[in-house]
Amino acid sequence: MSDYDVIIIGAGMGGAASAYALSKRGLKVLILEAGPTYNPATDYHLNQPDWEKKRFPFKPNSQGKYTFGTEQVLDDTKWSKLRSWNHQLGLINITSKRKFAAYHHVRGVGGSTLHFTGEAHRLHPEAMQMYTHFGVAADWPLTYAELEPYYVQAENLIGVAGDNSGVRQRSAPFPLPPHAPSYAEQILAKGFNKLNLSWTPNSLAVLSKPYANRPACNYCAACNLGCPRSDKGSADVTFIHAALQTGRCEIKTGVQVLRLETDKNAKISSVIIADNKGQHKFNAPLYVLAAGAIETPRLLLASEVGDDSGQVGRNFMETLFHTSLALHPEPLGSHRGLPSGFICWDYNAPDAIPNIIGGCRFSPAVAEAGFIGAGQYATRVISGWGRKHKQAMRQSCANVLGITGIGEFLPNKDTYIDLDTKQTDEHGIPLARIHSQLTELDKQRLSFIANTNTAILHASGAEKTFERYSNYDFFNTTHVFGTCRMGIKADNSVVNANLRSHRWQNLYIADASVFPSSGGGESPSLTIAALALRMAEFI
Amino acid sequence: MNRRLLLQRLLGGSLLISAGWMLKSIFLPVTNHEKLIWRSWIDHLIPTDQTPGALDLEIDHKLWQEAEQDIAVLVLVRQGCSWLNQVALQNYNLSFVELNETQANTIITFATQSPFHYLPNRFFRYSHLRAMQLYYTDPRSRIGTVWEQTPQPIGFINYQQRCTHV
Repeated sequence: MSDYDVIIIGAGMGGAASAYALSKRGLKVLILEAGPTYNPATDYHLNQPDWEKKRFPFKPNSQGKYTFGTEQVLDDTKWSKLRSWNHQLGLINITSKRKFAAYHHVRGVGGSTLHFTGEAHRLHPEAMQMYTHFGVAADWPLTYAELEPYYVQAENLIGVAGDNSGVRQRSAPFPLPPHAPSYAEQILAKGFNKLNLSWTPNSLAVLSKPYANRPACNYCAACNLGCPRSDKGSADVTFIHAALQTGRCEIKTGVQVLRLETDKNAKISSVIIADNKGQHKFNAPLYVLAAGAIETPRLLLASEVGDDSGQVGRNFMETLFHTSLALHPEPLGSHRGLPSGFICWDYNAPDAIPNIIGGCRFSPAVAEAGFIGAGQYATRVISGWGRKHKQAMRQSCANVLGITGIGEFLPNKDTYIDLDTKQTDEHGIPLARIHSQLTELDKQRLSFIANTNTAILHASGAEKTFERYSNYDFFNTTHVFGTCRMGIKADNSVVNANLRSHRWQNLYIADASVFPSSGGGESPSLTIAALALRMAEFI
Repeated sequence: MNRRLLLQRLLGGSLLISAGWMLKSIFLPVTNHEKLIWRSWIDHLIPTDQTPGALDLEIDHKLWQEAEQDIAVLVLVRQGCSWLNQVALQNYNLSFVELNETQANTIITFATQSPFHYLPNRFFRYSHLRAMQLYYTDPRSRIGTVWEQTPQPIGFINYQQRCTHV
């Protein structure tokens, strides 16, 4: 007899939303989280003099380990303009291969939402039917209309601020009004206007007014470094908080799940975990796996809990992006505001970019590129040294203007997750190995984004581009998807529309690994939450 | 951009270091004169004016300690100091530590204009990057800049308005 009705593995957005919905339904929930807990009031450093040096406070075990496969050879004869570059440093990658840089994530209660910018997007409905309409990726086995009520639930619990005249069909208004654009964003918006590109306030899990006993944002622009006020709706201060309030949710942190065990009835029978006291076994009637699109397939593959489709670990999708940064003659003070206060969805539909399948979006990029502190200006923006450099620093009005385009990443056969054959973690479990290759179509989309970025900056009055970077010459990703895709048939997908495993009757997967397609630049956290809330109704 | 990547990129050419120099830089004990050259170099990169300079914040000392933790960096730093002194002697018949600001700036300019993978350029880029990063994380360096205020606890409620700094 188990003490719990459900065991959830992972306390990021998927695990947190699952825990909230299931505990609210009366089930007794245990969350097993490999990373630590963060206390927003004491762990983040934004009020300390050396905040820029400390960055996001990664703690022991707050990042997973992984390895990389073969680096892709760069095709500079066609795509050299996509190379990452800085006016002081030259090419950032001087080799002829696409370097593996990093998978940016946080392992802990709240997961990567602890350092996200707070974007709370709904997917474009057509981006959920990529195979039917365009013959690429795979269709989602549910429609936008079926997911929509759960988007509403998630927005209300998180406290999303947005513009009700936005681009998606909605059955209910945003719970909070949108944020006003910063001064720098007002200048950047002029560039969009000149090019006849539309823009709208970004829908954000950042409070524009006090909500649910949390204060409104005070616009320090440092969301990526951890929000000490808890106005940013990371999973720990929203879904986890609400789950714990039910009295039916318990979290164990610092717990590494080593493997899943199965029985003869096509069910998961238990999980074997390791903590600082040794190895233990937990069991429950139901299991929800929510460790993210890299760790989730790793655990399934390492446990030899595969499926009949052979799709576990396949269809890996990453963040396709290009960022351009330039100086503007106006005294912008662009270190203030929100990281991404408005957004352009004009090219978000899968067929919106001329002759290129897969959409994209555009939004400001100053804070996410790191330009909210003096250190980055001193090394990446202002040239020279000595008295002149110091004087230029004192005279600077933080006048960097930046723009990022994020686009659809379509799955391909050479981009996947498997188990490293040599490297293991401290428990002897093989590490996840990331294989990533960009296709010609991805590069075409990236090129469109790069050209549009340049045009927008120019139209806004920016003078000198001093830096560009993209994932053309680096694997450098935040959002990851697709490695346990959902679908109708068991022979080409891992879970069904309700996120239940086709193979294992009591196993559910509630993270972005179930996405059959990445969307056209939408940030995934709200969709992960909506899918988890919906899943809970079908358990 | 990932700062660690930048650093890797900067140090990427360290394999070009000649074996002889490498051995010398590893095995010969550090002299006081080398440390004085380094101190003078950092002073020229970020001098004292109406706000504290790098030496006031002991950036030279902190960076030297940092270099001692990484043999590749220490070799680069020691080679760079040796090069500085050699150029100063050749051109001014003075040690680098005896140069005035104009003379030192001429050598720094030469370093920045030398080929990307050559020692002077790599030495400049490494020491410039780390000195600036370390210096501007100290709040005393930010006096009079737009970044004087930490992001929290009060944030920037005036974020919609034009910046009035300067």
